[in-house]
Amino acid sequence: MTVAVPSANRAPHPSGLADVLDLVLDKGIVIDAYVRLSLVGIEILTLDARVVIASVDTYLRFAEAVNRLDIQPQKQPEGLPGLIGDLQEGGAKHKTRGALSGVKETAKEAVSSLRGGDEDEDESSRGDGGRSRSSEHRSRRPAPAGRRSSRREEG
Amino acid sequence: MVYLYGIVRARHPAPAQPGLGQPPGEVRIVTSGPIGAAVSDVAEDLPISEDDARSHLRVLVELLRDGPVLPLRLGTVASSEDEARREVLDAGVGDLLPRLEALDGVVELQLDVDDDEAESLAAIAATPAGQHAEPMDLDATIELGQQIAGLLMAHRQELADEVVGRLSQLSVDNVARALIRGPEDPVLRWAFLVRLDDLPKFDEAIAVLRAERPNLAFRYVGPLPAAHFVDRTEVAAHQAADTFRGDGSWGW
Repeated sequence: MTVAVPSANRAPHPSGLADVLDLVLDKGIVIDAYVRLSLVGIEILTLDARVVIASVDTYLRFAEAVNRLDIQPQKQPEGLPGLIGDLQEGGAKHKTRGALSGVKETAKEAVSSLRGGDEDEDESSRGDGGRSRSSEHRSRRPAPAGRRSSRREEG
Repeated sequence: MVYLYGIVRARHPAPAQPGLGQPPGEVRIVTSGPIGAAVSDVAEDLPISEDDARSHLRVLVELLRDGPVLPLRLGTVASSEDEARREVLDAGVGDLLPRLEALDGVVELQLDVDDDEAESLAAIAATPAGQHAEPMDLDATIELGQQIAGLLMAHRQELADEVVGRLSQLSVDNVARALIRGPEDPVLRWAFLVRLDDLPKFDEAIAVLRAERPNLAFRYVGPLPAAHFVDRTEVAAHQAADTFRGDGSWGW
């Protein structure tokens, strides 16, 4: 038996289950006559179906992070932090409901603008035999220039 | 019942790696004409677990040392060796053989790249585009966050372009493994189809990237069966024909 030669910090196998399943379940070849059989026993394992575009929390976190980074020095006059905090909180409470209902729309707009840049829908050019069960997920291209075009939800 | 792992050349040696199921069966090659299937005996009603998925992949990776492998979908079983030969190999040879030969001398390498979000945000805040007034209310804060999210994604896109741009020159083909949809997503999830001859160069390029970008996390995996490239119909690596001797190890 040959022994694996560790090289260039290459891992021999993916560590995450999602990556393992991507290889052997999602991308493995389906033998036509065996479709019924090949489904035997697989209840496990749904691939990570996370649909995260971005949440309001994300935006707030980013805004907070950059504010901390570059506006911190002039943030609050000393001596009144508690009062100002209360005032801001009170003001925010009033705004919250309206703001958050507006947020969904804003987030949607942001999402569609993120996903609107589908400049090269080149999946049709792949010209394969249609064997891949997941060709709709694929975005094969020579360079990542079209990475943005992948930003759309499945289906 | 026999469990099928992948399609190989008929003369492909059996791997030492045990198969899946309990107890794990020995993996052997069932052949018909020019092609063969790596199989092992399994019980009826085999339940398939996470461990089995990993075992399946380990068998494929072991097989790959001795020549091209077409991975079969997890959970492919036949009632008997004869049925596997008849229904899979005899019926499929016209389709399977060219796809197998197209993977001769090439392997899949996967690269994941992640940035440190806090570091990327700091880099963005330091750019002219990242300048902003302090938001006065929640709406303005969210708007700022969205603006930063856009800049963050553009920043990661730039990193991804650079990495893939460099590595694609050393690969026969490459493809995104995961969609990048939003600012919570990583820099890169990519698969490269690389000629075995070019593996040392590819390793070197990864080492250079790691050294140049110490603040990025690179996860580099392979060689793997070319699962993301099984639909290639042309022979990708005919140049590699002289390095692959058919009966020896590919030697990485």
